[in-house]
Amino acid sequence: MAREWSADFGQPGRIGRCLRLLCLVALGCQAARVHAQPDQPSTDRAQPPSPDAETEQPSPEPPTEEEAAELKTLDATELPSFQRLMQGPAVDWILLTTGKVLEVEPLNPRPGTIDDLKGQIAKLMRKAGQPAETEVAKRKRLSLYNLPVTLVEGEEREYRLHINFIKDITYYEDLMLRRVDQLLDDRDVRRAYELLTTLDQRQENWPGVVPRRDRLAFTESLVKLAAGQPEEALALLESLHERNAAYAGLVEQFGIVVDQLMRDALSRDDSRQARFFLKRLLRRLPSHKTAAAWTGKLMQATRELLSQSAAAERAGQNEAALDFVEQAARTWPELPEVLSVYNRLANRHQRLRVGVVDLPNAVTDPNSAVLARAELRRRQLTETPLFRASRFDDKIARYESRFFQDWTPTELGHRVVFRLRPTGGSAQSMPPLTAAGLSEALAERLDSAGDRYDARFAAIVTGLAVRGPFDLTVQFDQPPLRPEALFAFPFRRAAAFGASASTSTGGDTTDENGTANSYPFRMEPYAGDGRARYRRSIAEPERTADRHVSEIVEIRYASHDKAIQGLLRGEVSLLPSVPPGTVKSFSGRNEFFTQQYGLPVTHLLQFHPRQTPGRSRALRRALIYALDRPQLLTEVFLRGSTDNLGRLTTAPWPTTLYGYNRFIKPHPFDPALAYSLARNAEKELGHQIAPLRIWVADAPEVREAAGRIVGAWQKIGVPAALIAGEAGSKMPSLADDDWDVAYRAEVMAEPLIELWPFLALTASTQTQALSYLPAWLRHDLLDLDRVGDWRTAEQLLNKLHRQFWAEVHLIPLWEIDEHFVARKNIRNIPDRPLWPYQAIERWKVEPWFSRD
Amino acid sequence: MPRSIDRLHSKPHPATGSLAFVAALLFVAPLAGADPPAHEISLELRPYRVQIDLAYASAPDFDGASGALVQSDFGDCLERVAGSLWQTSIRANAGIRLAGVDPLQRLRPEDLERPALAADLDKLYLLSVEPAGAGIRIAGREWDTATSQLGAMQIVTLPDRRETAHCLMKLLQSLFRPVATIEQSKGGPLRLRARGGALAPHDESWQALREGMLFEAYYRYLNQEHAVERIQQIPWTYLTAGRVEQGVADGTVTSGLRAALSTRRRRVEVVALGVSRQVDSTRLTLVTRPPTRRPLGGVEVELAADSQPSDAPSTPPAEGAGSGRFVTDRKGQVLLRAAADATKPMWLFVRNGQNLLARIPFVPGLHADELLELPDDTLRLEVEGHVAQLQSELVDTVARRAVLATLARQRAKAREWPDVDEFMRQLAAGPKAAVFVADLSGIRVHGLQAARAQKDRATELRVRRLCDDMAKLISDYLEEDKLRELRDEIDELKKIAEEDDAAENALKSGQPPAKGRRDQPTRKSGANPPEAVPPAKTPPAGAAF
Repeated sequence: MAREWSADFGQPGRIGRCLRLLCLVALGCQAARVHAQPDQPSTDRAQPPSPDAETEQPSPEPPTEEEAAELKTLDATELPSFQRLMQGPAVDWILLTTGKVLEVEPLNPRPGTIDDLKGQIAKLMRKAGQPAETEVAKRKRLSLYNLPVTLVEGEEREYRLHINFIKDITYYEDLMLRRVDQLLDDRDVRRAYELLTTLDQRQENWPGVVPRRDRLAFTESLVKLAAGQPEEALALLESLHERNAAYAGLVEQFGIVVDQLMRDALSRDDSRQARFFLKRLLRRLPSHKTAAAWTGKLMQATRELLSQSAAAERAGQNEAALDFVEQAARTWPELPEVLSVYNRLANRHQRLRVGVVDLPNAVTDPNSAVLARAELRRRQLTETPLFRASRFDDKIARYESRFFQDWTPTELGHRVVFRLRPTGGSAQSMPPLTAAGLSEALAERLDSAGDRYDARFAAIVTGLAVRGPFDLTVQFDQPPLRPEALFAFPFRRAAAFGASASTSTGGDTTDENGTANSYPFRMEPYAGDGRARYRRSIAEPERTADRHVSEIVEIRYASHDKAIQGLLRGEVSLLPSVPPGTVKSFSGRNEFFTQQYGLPVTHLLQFHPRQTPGRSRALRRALIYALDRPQLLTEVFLRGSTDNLGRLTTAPWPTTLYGYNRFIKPHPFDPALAYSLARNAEKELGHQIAPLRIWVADAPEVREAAGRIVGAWQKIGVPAALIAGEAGSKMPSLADDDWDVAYRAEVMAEPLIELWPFLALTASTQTQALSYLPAWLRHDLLDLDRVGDWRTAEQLLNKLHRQFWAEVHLIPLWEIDEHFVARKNIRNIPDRPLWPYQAIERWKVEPWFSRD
Repeated sequence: MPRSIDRLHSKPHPATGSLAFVAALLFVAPLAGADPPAHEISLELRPYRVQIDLAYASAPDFDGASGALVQSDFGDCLERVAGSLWQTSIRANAGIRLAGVDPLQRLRPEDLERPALAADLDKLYLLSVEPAGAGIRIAGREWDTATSQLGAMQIVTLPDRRETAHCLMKLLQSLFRPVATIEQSKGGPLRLRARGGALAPHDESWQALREGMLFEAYYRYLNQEHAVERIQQIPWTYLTAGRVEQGVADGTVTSGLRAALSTRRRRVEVVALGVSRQVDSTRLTLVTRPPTRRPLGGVEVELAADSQPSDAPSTPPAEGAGSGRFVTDRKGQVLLRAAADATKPMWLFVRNGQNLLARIPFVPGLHADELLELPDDTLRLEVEGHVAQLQSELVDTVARRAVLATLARQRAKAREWPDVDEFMRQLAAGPKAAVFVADLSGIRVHGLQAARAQKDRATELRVRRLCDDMAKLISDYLEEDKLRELRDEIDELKKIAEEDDAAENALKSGQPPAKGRRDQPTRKSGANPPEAVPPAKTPPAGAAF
């Protein structure tokens, strides 16, 4: 390969001529030496040093001035550039005794080439007592004085240079190190690193590399600190400390960096992080003055916070006192005084911190049946239905009531006597309910002119009779199969709660701040800090010893991973939902307990009945055959988990529910069939299928799954796109035309009651709400309303199940067993709850704070 | 109280055949039960014999002279406006009827059906006058003796008591429903002859017959003595008066019956009673026919001005509109608000899915409640649902067959025989027509049996038709001939391939190739080529189904 000549090598041929002269001189001298008498002095111009009698070194003649003038001096020789050193070719510098630099190809061995030669020469020298050196041996020994060099240019490049002319050799690696030094001086750490790495690859363990590495780490830490990346700077210093704890300036730099980190963390009010950095410093340099200073500061700050807490507590502001002591616990948890104060205050005002990935909207449509997870949680905290499904047992969701002591059917179920609880206990955050108030609230649902009219309720209930202060009789036109499900609606009328309700003015009451009264918790207005706060509507008695959760703070994280991180760090104590793939990771951690919800969440695609897919059965069948649901479920949600936390489903209600027909198998994945059916659908419709608009909620995994569904449909020639369902956006409704398919994830505890709003996408129970649905579905839903026995109910649901499967009115995707994770300091969470905040009023949060 | 009306359909109802229809004659039998005089005055020149019963509330305003004054003024008003149209007698506080809205509301037709009353009167008006705060509330109802119809109550509240007489007169006008006879010649136009139609009242607005006036029709069944034995309204039938001449007008019939006014009747009189909007809305109840009378909830009801059903998507009606699409509630009821123009009947369509159950003329606001009996469509819907499920499976099977056939052909042309064999195996393993036919038979037998048990001939016919259509689909799209042709085609391609291989081997070994099938004219496979050219691995469009 042709060598590229550069300015570094000078003009081609010149060096070769010089070298040739030198060698000829050397060889001539050697030859003269060989043929001359041993004691005859040399008559050459230059007077080389007399060879030792024992060594018999030849006496070469130095080159002439003209000859030497063609080479550069060391000062004039420029250090090769970074690019040149990276790309090569490698070249060594031989500094001649004349002060000139000769550039040659890399010498071997390296380093210590001359020393090696001398060593070889020494070995061949005749020792005292050894026989006389032979001519061959002598010739061999003398040849060692000549270092074979290869010039970097010229036609004849192979020469031998007497070592006496060599003052020093600067190897290529040393050139690289010099350049590294220069780069580090310029704080060009990236290129310095590259060069150093290249050097290391070229010649491992080259002398001088290790110090350069240390310097590189140090310099880079300076650069990082200057660039506003103190954490990276700290990491670099730590790695340097690991290698060379005595590096000059390391200790001071540690102090500077940690100081910056501490200030930054505390400016963000992140004491935990500040302590984290402090610990890192202490781990390396326990007696560092910066560590001592900051420790003192934090301890002092903690004491001040404790003082403020005490003052607030004396003023009766328990919540503010708790805020201060929590901050103190975050600042310096090791301070002995913190624990007792914290325990006392946290036990009095029990605050539950929950990690979530979404928060409820400020304003919601009360008639929408599509509720985001956050909205569902909000309603669980702020609304109290007369009955609520609380557990799942023997294929049926069982209801409980916080209001009724018992409910007794009479007259073959045509009449039910409801007996209210006179008192609710100190944990109850709700005013007492009387029969008169309940009757009034129920009457509102019977009034067709009112805005709380419930057509289903009005069709079944024919009369209300107050029998006593806590006894109410309800007359039914037809005995309902599940009266509990029929009464599973929340109260909103304050007048229903009797005269003891505070600020009761009738209708939707508000307190002095304008906040709507809601029970058992009320939601505080958003403060813009990414948190939703709920406070107990009715505080527990001040002197009670048996206290329960008073406040719930939902903290929004960007993703489930971040939420889990928050849980591990102690920022939150409960995660109401974790991805199935992460459940197993909690099993080995004793500080948490993981609980599966009683009912799985069903994911499905629902078609708008008036839009294209809703009108074409062939298209709907094409869309379902195009989906590889097992693969989607495994890859998106289960993430390789083998714990059977998800499964395919064919109905919008859980597979464990009584109405699920196990003989109906999911549609298989058949892309060829899907393609064919899609083309048939286009023929039926008479036009190409317009892009389908898929509404999807703002949840990470759901959006990912929906995105992949879009891809699957596009493969069969059906274009589709996601439309945003961000927080605050409108939920889909059948009256709107701006969506074609809705991706929903729902829990359906009782399809007898919940299937109607689910399909009609509205909370209205008037039959007009079903006008958009097919006639057969409308009739079946009405029959479901009227069903009177379990057998018929099951048959009807099985029939609906078959019809959904055949008509593909919706595409059930899969159901996932969701779990929540809670720290073990939370007590009284029911076993296998159906909802995240089930029985929240009875929960207890034992005092705990993270020491990390 | 709802007005019960037998179930009607656009097709002649067999049940109506049980009624005794008598051919209507050109002449009209006398309306009254008395023997007609020899020189009878034509109906249009006969005034109405009207009795007005005024019931005053016990109050100083109406006792004594003030009441008499009101009555006198009232009479004068009537005289001034009605003129010769009415022969009126006014009685105050006669009988034991109390004044007030409630007693009027509680009145029933049977309380007023008296032969003597019918003989003497044409119209009886029951009016009530009572104080209402600082004003007066007057209420009234009309009893028509010719049709034995008690009209809906109307109430007027007036602040100024001095307007009592005038308001009474106005109330009467709004209550007044003229009576007419219907004359229909065979193949000729229908004519309405209104009582007093040729008499000119002083106030034109009191004319008994005006163009555009709407009438309901009634049969009066007479006995041998020509006394009225029974009166029956002709359901869902309205007559609209055309241009009026001397009290006689052409009538346009709008009816949900195919032959609403039959011309072959004996001892049956057909009488028309004028209508006016009486209430703001009508509650229509849909039930199945007796004996079940199950409410038909979830059924679509459309009210339109046009007699042809629209294809517009179902939308809730706009506020205040008289037309629109509705869905009956759980009790089979729907509230239909009265249109602005109460003289023009609208059209009511009742649908259950794609099936039109009824198409009848309807005037919302005419009566407070109406009842419509319809056939029980549940069985048809159930059968349709089963057939739809079977159809879905058929669609899948046919599409899958088409895909497999195309893939087999593609692989055969590429000579990938293992794939071909697999596809053919899958084709052979797929459901056959016989399976679908067996399933369909089960649906058919069950449906027909149920329809016969209900004696529902119409549903039986529908079930039969549904199943026949489905059977045709099965036979058209799952015929085995196509599979056989495909198999033959594949076999041929295989043999050609084998011969080609043999020829190639022969060439290599230097032997002359044997004459093979390639040299013979190819037999037409008869299989349809794909209509579209798809990408490589995807099936073509144009599946057989």
